[in-house]
Formats: sequence, C-alpha cells, structure tokens
Amino acid sequence: MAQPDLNATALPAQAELQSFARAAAHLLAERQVRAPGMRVVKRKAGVGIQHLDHRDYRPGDEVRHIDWRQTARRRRPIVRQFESESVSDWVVMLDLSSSMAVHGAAKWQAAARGTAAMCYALLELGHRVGLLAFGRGVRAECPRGRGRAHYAGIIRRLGSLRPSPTGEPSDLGACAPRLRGDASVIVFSDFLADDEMRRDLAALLERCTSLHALQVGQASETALSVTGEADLVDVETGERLAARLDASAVAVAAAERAAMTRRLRAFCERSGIAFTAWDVQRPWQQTLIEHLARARSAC
Amino acid sequence: MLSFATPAWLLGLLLVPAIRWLHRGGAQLRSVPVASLALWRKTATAGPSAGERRPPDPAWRRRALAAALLSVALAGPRSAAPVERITLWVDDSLSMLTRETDGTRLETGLAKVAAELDSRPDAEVEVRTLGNPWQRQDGLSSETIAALVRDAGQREPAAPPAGLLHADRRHWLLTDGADAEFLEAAAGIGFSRVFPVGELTRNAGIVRLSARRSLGDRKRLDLELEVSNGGDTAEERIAVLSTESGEVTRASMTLKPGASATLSAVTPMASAVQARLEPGDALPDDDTLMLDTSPLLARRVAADPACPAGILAALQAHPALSVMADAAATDLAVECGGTAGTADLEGMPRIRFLLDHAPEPVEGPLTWSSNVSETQRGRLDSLALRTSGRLAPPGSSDVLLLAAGPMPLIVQRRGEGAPLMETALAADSADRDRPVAPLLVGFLVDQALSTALLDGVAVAARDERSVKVVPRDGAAGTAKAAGTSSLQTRDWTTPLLVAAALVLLWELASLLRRWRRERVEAEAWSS
Repeated sequence: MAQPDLNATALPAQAELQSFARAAAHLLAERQVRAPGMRVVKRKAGVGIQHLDHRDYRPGDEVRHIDWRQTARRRRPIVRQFESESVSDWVVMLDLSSSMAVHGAAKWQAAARGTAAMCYALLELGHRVGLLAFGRGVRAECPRGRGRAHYAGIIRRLGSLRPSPTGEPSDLGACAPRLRGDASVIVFSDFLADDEMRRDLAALLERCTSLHALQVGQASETALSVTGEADLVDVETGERLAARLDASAVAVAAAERAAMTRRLRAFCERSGIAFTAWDVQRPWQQTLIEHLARARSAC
Repeated sequence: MLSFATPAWLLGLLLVPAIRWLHRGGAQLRSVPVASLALWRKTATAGPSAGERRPPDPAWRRRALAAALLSVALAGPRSAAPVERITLWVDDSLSMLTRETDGTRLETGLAKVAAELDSRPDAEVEVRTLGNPWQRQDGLSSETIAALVRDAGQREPAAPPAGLLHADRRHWLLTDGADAEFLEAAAGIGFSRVFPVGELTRNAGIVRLSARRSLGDRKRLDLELEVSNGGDTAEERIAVLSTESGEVTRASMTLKPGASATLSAVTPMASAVQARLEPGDALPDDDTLMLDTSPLLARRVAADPACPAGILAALQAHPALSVMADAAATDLAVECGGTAGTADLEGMPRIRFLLDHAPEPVEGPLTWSSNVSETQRGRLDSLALRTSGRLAPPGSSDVLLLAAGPMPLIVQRRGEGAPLMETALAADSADRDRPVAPLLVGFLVDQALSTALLDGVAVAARDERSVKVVPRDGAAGTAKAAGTSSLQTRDWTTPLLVAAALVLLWELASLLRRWRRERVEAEAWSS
C-alpha cells in the first residue's frame, strides 16, 4: 500500500486565517452556540473565578482552594467552588484513523486545515481551545489554552500528527473521558463506522455544552479506478471482502455512503448536533462559515 | 499403443499436485484498500463461508498444464498405430504388354490390384517397377496406372534391391511369371501377395537385327535377323526385311517352342532397315524391329591432289570412305601441303601429312599415347615407318598420339574448330611388301572421326527373355504367409513441446498483464 504524502499537508496561511477569523467572529461571538433542541446549560461548578459555593474537601482538590475560614468554622476541610468558565472552552477533535489517509490523504489534509482555522478563529475571540486527536484511542492531546502562543503550540502539535495508513480504527468515544468541565466540541471526522459513530457522539454530547460534527468526505472513496474481481481491504480493520468492481458496484457504494450520511444527519438533527457534510473538494473557508452560520441560525 | 523414450521424465507429473497445493490459498486477487468495507458489503461476490478455504487460484490449472506438458514431452511419447504399408512391385517387362481378352496383362493386373486396394482405404501404398525399382510412386491412382502402362516394355524384370525390401512393409508382386530367371531370383524374397496375370502362351518375336558392310561390296549391307519363339507352341512366321527403297527379302520360318531361327540377307546400302513378322500375335511390340544403318554409310572425303599417290590410293581403297571431288560437301579432308580448297575445309575434321623432306627412317623407340588401343598400335608397330616432315611440338590442348623419342610423329590438334590430325610419317614404305599408307590412313581417319569405320556393325536387339510370354504358376508359389501388420510410429514430442510453449507464453502474457494492472493501481493509489 502506498504511503500518503502527509508531509505535503499545507495549513492555511496567516492571511487566510485572519480573513476567516474576521468572518467567523460574529458567528462565534456568543459563548453558547447551540443547535436546535440543545438543552439549557445550568450554572455548574468548575474552574473559574466567580465564587459559587463550598463543599467538603476531596483528595485531589487544590490546596489553594481551601477556604480556611469555613474550614475552621466547620472543623473539617472545606474548599471553595467557582462558577465554571468552561462554557467558553472549545475542544477540537480530529480523526487520526487510517480511513482519513486513503486516496492521497485528502480528507486528513482538509480536516487539518479546518482544525487549524477553527482554533485560530476561536483563540482570536479569546476562547480557550484544546485539541484531541483520536484513533484507536486518544493519540494526542493539547490542553486548552489561550493566546497566540497556544495557537503556535497547537500548530506544532498538528504538524507532528500523521494518520497511520493502516490498522488505525476510529474510537471517538475514547475522547469523552478527556472532556473535563463544560466545553463546546468540534469533531472533524469521516464518521466511517458501522453506526456512523452515533454512539460516540451521544457519549460526547453528554459531556459537552455543544457539539459540532463535520463529516469530511471524498467522492473518490467510492469511485475506484479498479475494475473486475478484487480483494477489498479495510485499511482500519484489515478485514477483506471479495467483490466485483464495476460501475454498478461503485454506484451501490456511493448510495451506501449517501445513506450513511443521511442517517448521521438525521441523528444529529434529533440530538441537537450541528452537522455538516464536507466534501473536501469544497473550500474550507466556505464550508466552515456555512456550518457556523447554520448552527447560529438554528440556535 | 503409447510408449515413452525416457519414462523418468514422467516423474515431473508429480508437480501437478504440488502446484495445486501451492495455489490452495485462493485466487491472487488485487488488493484494493478502501476506507471502510461498510460501503462495499452489498457488492461482495459469493465467497466461501467463514472457516472454509477459498477456492484456489485458477491460474494453477494453466501452470499445472504447462508442467504436465513439459514432463510428458520430455519423456518422448510415441504412439504406434497398426497400419498396413504396402509396396506394390509391378513387372513392367515387355511380356506384360501381351494382349489378353480384357486388355494387356499390365492393365488387367493393375485393375485387379486397384480393386484389392480399394478395400483397404487406410493402407499406405507405394508403387515400384521391377525395371526401375528406385523410382517410387505413391498410391495406385489412375495417373500412376497410365504412367506405368506408358513406360512398360523397356526393361526386363530384375529382383528388387534388398535395400528396398523394408521389413515393415508388405510387398505385393504383379507379374505374369513369364521370366523364369526373375522367378528364381524372387523366390527367396517372400512377397506377401502375388497377383498373377496372363493366360496366352503363344508368341514369336524378333530378338535381334544386325547389319554390316559387305566385305566384297562397300555399297551393300549384310543383314542378319534372329527370331525366337517365346511360347509353348510351334509357330510359323514369315520374316520380312525392308528398307526405304522397298522390301528386300521375305522368308518363312518354323519355330519350335523356345527355339530361335536366323535369317541372313544382303541389301543395297540404306540408312534404315525394318524387320517384320507376319502374321502378328498377341504381343505386337516384338513383331517389328527397326535398325538404323546410317552409321554404316560411306564417309565422304576431300583429298588434296598434292598428296602422294599412295595416300590417294589408300583413301580410295578404304571401304568406308568415298573420295569426293567437291570439298565443300565432305565429312573429312586430307591435306598434303596443297592450297586448293583450304578455306572451304575450315570446320571439318582434317588430316594433314607433312612432306617437308625426303623420307627418313624413324629414329628412336616409338611411344604411344594411352588414347590409342593396343590393336591400333600393333598394326603400325610392325611397319617400317619413315618421316617426311617435322611436327611442331604439341600445345597445351593438343594430344600427342605417337612420338619417336623427342620427335612427335602424330599429333591431334584441338583448336576451336574440328580436330586436326597432323603426322610427320611418310606414306611411302621402305618395304614394298608391307605398305604403310592403308594402315596409316585408316588409323588417322578413325582418330579424326572418333570411330572405327572398318569394324562398323549396326545392331538392334532386345532381350531374349522379352519374347517369352508363357505365364508360370511358380510366381504364386513364391508367396509366403502374410507378415505381421506394420506399425506406424508417431513421435508426439514436438507437438507437446509446442503446446507447452504456447501455455508458457499464455502464462507470461497473464503475468505481464497482471504486472501492468498492478502498476496502474499502485500509481492510482499513490496519486
């Protein structure tokens, strides 16, 4: 199997990022961008400045958060709780599975560009942004942070990521435990799984304030240049399937891909997940702006 | 029946199950990586269930076939199929042209053999004649029969050469058995089948007709005719001799069975003589005989008047020469230093006598060329030879016939034209009782014309056996029991090797096609 040229990944230029950030600023201005049907977020305790309440000390709590006055009064360790500021946090999840590397890794390159653009735009607006790359599990994590220095760190980390050409399945659900506190989540993935990762999306939805799903797709996924008897190999699982490739087979595969997209879209609409099917042939700026606009209007 | 030259190569057939085992892993399908099999499950072809072995790569049949073909071909397979191979020996002697009720014996016999061969359509037949056994004709077609009838009667039969009596063939014989010598010679051959033909037993034929110049009259011919009775009954015939000027003589003959009679006659010089027997019989080909006597006609000679009288007298006295006054219409010219008519003599054989000085005795021993016969040498050696001139040394193309020490005496000059005989010998003899001129002139004339004029005899003859027509049962008696059937062996090595090469080419083409396909896929994948 030929190795995709991942080194050729071209991240957006600074001018493109700035232009995109300006266009996306008003779409990301409100902290709670939610899709229709999204639940109302209550005030939650978390990492923040605004004092919310007190509670008993639990191992692992920071010592500096101990309220010594209340401790002395109640004669047991009491810590202060703060209003969570995680609603202004964003986590970008990037699919690093092998399916993103097929056919010249066009999907991976598009997803990487989208990730970089979204991080830049969010950081420009002062949000905290983190990065999670997932494959069989969480392959890379960049903690949430602010500022341009943090963006530079994200870019460096992004540049070091390479999807494995084979043997790397998608396990989006592995990212759910890494979500601490409230955060909005943007997922860049092809969602190529038997259940279109709907179960993983549901798990994420339970742990975040809003969820965006951008399905990265490619027409050549089903338009193979090979005809005749062939042994199809799933690059993620290695599973093989004998098939006869011809025009009708390609049409069937394309129809199956469209059906998967329809099922995923219907699930997202039901669950309040902002969903966009992104063909990598389309420019990333246009796709992301349309996605944010659609999510904002639906909010 | 199949046999092998080197059966050890058949062990190569064990490669077939080995190849099948090596291909047990299933077809070598192209591996096409896809992002998810979930997209393609509806396009899956019927494959083996879980736990079942995939069907073998169909290419194993092609490779096993190539290995099997090579193994069998190297083993040298040979098949031997029983086939009847027949050699028909045809007696094409003169007696086979005897006319029977339904035609000549040859025609009747060939029709009988052809009918027999029609019942054996698979037989491989070759036809040879006893007169010319080295010429073979395949099959007994109508063209072959016509050619055999046309060429028959030229030669009497002889036993087939042992080299042509192949043991893997059946040998059939078509003959009338009239030639006892042939029957005796063929007795040991053992023809597997004999087709006897002929019923008639009466025939008388001309065996020999000869002519020579009459010794007393150079303008007449002495003729001799020999007639033989080749049948088993006494015959009476009238022998008629005739020339272009008419009938010469006619004589009645009574011939006992197997006996011969001779008729002699004298006729004026003629260019041809014909002998004929009356009345005709069943074998007309031997009832006439034509004799060409033109070689016996007198040769015309132009004599130089300057020649000595002895030479002129010898020329005139030669029985086969006629001295002509007109030099332009002669066969030979004799020169003795005169100039008359020299220009007209170009292009014809010439004899030149050198008369430069008075006759002198020959000095030294005589040396003859090997071209001269002992008889001719003896005639001149006994004479008292003298020289009357001096010959130039012979050139590279000349032949020195006689020399006395270093001195050439008779030289045959061979230039671009006719031969020129030059001699330094004098025609006058020192011994009056033994003249030199007649013998010297006779020798030079024979050498100039390359013939023996004085010994000329014209003969037309046929083999005495040719007139014998009585069929003999002994021919059938020579046949032995039919031999074993011949086996036609065919070597299958080359066809199998060609087939194996074609299969290998097929395999190479498949591999090339697969390599090109995979290269295209790899390029598409890498792009």
